[in-house]
Amino acid sequence: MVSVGPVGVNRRLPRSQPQRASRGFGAVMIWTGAGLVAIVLLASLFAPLLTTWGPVEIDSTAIRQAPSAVHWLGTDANGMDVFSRLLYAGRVDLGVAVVSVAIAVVIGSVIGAVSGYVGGALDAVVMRLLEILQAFPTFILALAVAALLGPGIVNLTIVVAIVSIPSYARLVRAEVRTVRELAYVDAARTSGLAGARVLLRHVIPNSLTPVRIVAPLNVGWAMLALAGLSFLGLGVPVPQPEWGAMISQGTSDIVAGRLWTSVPPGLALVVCVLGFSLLGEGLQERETRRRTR
Amino acid sequence: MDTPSPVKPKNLRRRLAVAGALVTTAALALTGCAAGAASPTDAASATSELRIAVPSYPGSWDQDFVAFDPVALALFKNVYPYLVDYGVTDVDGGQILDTENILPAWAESFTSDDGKLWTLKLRDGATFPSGNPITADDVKWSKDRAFAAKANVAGVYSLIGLTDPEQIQVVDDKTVTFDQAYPSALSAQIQAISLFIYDSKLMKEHATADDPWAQDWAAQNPSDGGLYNVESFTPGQEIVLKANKDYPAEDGPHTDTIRLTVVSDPAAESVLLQNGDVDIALGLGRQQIADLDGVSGVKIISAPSNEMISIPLNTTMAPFDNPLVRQAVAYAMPYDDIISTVYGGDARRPMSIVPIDMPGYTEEGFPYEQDLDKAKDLLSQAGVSGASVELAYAADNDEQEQIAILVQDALGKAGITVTPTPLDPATLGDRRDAKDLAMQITSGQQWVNDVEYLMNGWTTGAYLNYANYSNPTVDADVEASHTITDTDERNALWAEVQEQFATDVPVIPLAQPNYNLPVGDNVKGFVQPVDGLIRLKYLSID
Amino acid sequence: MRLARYIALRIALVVPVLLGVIVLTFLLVRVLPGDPVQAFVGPNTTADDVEAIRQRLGLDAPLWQQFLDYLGGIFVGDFGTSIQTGVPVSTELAFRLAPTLELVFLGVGVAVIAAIVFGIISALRVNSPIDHVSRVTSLVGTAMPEFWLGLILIVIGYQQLGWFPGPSGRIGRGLSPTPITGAEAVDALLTANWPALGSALLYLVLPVLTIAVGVTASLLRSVRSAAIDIRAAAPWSTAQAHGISGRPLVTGYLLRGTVSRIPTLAALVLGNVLGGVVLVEYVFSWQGMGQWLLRGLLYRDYPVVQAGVVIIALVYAVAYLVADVIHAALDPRVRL
Repeated sequence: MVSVGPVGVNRRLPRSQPQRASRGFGAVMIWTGAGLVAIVLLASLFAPLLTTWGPVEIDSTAIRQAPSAVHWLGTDANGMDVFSRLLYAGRVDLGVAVVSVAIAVVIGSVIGAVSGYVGGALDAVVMRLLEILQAFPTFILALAVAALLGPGIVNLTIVVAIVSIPSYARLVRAEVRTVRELAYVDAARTSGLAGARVLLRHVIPNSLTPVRIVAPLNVGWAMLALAGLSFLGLGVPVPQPEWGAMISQGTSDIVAGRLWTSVPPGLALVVCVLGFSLLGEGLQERETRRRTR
Repeated sequence: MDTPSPVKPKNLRRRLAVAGALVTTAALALTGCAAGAASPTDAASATSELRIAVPSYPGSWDQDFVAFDPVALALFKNVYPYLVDYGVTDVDGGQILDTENILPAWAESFTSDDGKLWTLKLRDGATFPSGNPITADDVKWSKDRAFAAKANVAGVYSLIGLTDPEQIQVVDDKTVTFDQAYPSALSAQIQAISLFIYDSKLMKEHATADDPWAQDWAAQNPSDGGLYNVESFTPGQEIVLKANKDYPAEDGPHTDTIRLTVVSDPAAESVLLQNGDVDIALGLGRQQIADLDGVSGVKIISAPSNEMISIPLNTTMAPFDNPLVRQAVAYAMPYDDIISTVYGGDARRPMSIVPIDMPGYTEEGFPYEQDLDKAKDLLSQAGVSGASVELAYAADNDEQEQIAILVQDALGKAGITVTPTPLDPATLGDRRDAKDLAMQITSGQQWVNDVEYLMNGWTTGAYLNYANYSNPTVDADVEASHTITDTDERNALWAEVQEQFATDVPVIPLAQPNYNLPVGDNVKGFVQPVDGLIRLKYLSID
Repeated sequence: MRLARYIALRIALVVPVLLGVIVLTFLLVRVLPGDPVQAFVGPNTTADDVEAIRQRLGLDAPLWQQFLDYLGGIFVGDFGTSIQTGVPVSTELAFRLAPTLELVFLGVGVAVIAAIVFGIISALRVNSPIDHVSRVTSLVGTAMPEFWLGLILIVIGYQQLGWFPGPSGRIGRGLSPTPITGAEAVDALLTANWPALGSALLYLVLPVLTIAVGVTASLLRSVRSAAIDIRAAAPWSTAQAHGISGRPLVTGYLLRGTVSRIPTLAALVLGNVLGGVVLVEYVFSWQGMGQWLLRGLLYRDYPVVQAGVVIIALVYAVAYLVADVIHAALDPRVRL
């Protein structure tokens, strides 16, 4: 069975011939992507300086008001300031997505590396387990784990991490199987280094390249997954600001022609996910060139 | 009791931004459209089709073995043959179901001399859609089945002293007696919601040794023959109802064909109504309904309801095991904000555990208005500072989510840290069963408009007593009420109970929102159901 | 012969995975907090009644016995009875599965076609504006939450323009074709019922578009890089040197070369879409597997969740199997 990740990323990196003059656009993508992410990151970090209202502060005199001088992007159904929530939400979304992907990368890489390096029965068992997890419909698995752990930001981070682990494990395993046959690993092994050290020193570092590229794409996926969970009512608990929850709260507003409650968080999400995607895509292009040089 | 909403994941947002104007316009709309319903229309003359969007497909066609499912229960009211039903009464220019006035439907009469032994007489010549005549055996078989199911009907029958199938006897082909253990004030009302029957001859054809009550068949095939017959259905998607021409009682269906279409996303549902592709949108949130107000071609029907939104406080869990803390919370609640923000003013504030309009309601001895200083005083008297609790609510209910936010804000100011905790329906049910929720939001729709029915859920150990409340006076009063039929005597009991609740505060009544229904402006004849289950027969379209 | 052995081996590998999914699902739903019996609790329910219901549903039996009953049932096609509805799960599955597959296959199919067309155009003009625009546009599509995109499409396509039917049902009133598979468009096609086909396709446009927009980017990326590889390889220049150009060059070399990469990738994307289709189904009121499974999960309707997950895993496994076999048929090296 071919491996599959939540992102739907083609894990097999194209090892193509040099692409004509593609350095230019690859770099543009990397810098644009990084720029977009940086803007969102800075805006959310400096939210207290940029906003006049607290993210959960209720202005009961202004329920669902259109943008004005007092509330720059209007207010939502609870009388909370949309602009302020928009900025603060970035902390939650970026935080959950980045941390969950980091957890998934670490745990997934270790599982994949050990399994691939040791091989044999262990590898077979681990592979079957990962296949079982991946054959599960992603969202149902996420919802089940969310229901199991209960609501809360920490638990959500774990949920998103768990559904991402198998793809990293398989990715790293495949890479480890290639790397461990390479000459320098063999040399290290014959020179008497213990298995664990060879694994840590040589195999893992050399197997992480594809992970580096997939990870940014996966951060974007994690954000969308978080939003989807919020849409189905199992996301970040209220009144904590979160883009997905803001969008889903505002869906009825879209139909009623009140665009300010859910269009800004939707755009923020698109910008942020796009930033990570561009970053990933650019990195991939650069990697392709590096490998083929 | 608590009415879970049909599965409707999150994005259904019931926010309300309507000015007080809504109430006025809605009331006008109600007056305007209700006039048509007063005059009984000849069912045969009605030919048009009414299209209704519903949020989910009914889980099952079997009313005895059904999981709690509001869409299914509403459908059953209109397709199952009910032997007796509520009448209609005019209130403030609108029309509501009259719980004091139970009329024969498929039955010819249902009477009792002593309130204990009730005699049901069936009509001659009445038949099921299969052509089988409706006989006493059908009634007996149907109620035996209900006892076997140990579900809804068996539950409410126990309130009026019917606990054994032997208490229901066939006298002759058209007569059945119900011999209650004691006379009860609730008999007629309970029977109005429970006396539905199955075509027992037909059902027996589908029964097997393993399945004596034909559950497999009944779950997948409509038991109709009531006001409407099920003409066709596409599982998961659509049900088409046809008026039952054989309906023998007065005031039969006003519309010939009713098409129920499932639309899972409320935002999509309201778009369909706006575009005139459906005539009625059931199950919309407060917010979608408010947004539809003023849209051309759409009007909002609004009518008083006995649905009660409240917050039970677990009397056996810290910090709410101290009555002073519970009183403090009652003083800290943002009652006015909830009614204005969540319900756009389209709700009333009950000053009792008993809903406004329910016979026996009194505000006597209920002091609670929002007063943060008093709340803080009481908390320091109780020696509680810096308490932190979880406030559980249904994850699919946006109205409750909004209330949770407001409560968190208000109690925070009084010094109690509240964490809003959304739970999915199964977890919520489980935690309620375990009675380990300190604080939760509930919404309850009384199916029987009577305090005895309501208070039964608040006796010691009652299954739905979420506050784990136990009070000897309340227990004794409810016990006594079972056999008392005199109204004044009963009201005296209820006054005592309500005062006890005001002192002990096991539950804080927050709001009694009006029943809102967005319809196309050519829809007329709405009658407000007391149980929240819409009666389709009154509706028609121009 | 070798291919047959390869197929047999691949099928043998699917079996343990499916068994694993069966066991894991069975355990997972039961580990979840929450009690399916609570769905039946109404006013005046007593603890005795709850026990009686539990017994009636067979939930009081020991876990191992419940599992053996379940496993035994699966082999004769009996997935048990839904706790919520009392309807056999296989009956519900029958009208839930086809509409979802119709939606998912069409969505992925449209994405594949778009990816091939734009991927090859991109590859032919690497680093031209059209290359950049198609790549970035596809990324923007992937960055949008599908429930949000779906709603926007409804507002534009149905509410504003009125070009497409509203989000209820899957076919116009009175047009339903004779049910064969349960997927309206397929049934209409099989029965040559053209008005029904037209209507069903109109209902499919917006949800299919929502799905396709979300997944085109990863397919596009792959087609593009494959096509670039081919253009950089020796046969391409040889062909060019021999004077082959224009259409024959593109269809004969580029298209054929890139298409062989598609099946595996499409299966992968299909799996992802299947796992997240619930959001699209929900927004478009598409009564398919996703919504059914979601409801089952929320109410702990054990048999529904068990059957739904196993069926989706099966579809997923079969899609891979087919993809791998096609791949093996095209590329003999895989069979070794």
